Amino acid sequence: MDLSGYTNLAFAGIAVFGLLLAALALLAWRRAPSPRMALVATGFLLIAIQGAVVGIGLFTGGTSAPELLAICAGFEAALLAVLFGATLLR
Amino acid sequence: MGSDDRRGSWAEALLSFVQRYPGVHFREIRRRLGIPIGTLDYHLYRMEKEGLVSVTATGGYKCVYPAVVPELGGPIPELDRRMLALLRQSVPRSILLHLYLEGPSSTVGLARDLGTTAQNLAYFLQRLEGAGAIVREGVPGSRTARLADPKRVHALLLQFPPLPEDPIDRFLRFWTELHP
Repeated sequence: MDLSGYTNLAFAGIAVFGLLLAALALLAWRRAPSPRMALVATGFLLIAIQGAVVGIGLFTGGTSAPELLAICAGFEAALLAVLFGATLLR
Repeated sequence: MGSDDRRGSWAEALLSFVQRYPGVHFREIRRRLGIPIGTLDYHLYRMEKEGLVSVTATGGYKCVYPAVVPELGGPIPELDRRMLALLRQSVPRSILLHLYLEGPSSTVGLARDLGTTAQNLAYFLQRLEGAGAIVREGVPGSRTARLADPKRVHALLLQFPPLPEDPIDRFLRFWTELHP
């Protein structure tokens, strides 16, 4: 497998693990609803979506590298904002 | 596996779960054992009729106790039942454990340390006081709470283990314990 194959696999893994952790966070939120747990679930969901979007972009080859980087940066910024919010909440 | 076999294994699992974790409430049993609600209701009704368990409503929860605890040679005393029911719920258990480990605490400090609101804490403190588990002293605004009988809490914690944490509990604890 060449490098692009490994990159695809890595983003697919990120999407799957992100989704798994988002599901766990949603179950935890259902058990003990709190704004912090909702933000944690949102954060993991963002990771999952990022993995899926970038993975599909790489797989189909219709999106250029700068565009994918810009998408990644957008998701990372949103994720940091969500996690910062979760850290500030008591 | 036939439906009779499955019913039998559910009944066995239910009885051994209740014997291991007395005071566990209905919804928790359903969640932990994955028994359908109607089946659980049926088995508890049947077991109560046969004198194997007793079901008591405590603070809005249907709590289940074994009729006889072999180590005690009889049923769990009423005061211990009320305490056990509280120890099976997360907020009352946190309050009792905090008071047991840290000693008497102000209600303001308790709310801060447990990360809960004053109203929520007041509700549970009232329930704990009603059950004879804690004593509140002082005037409103600067009240302190302490365990009525720390030795009893110690004995119950030793004798009856807490429910084991599942992955969701661990996830919840990890993220709720993170503070800036």
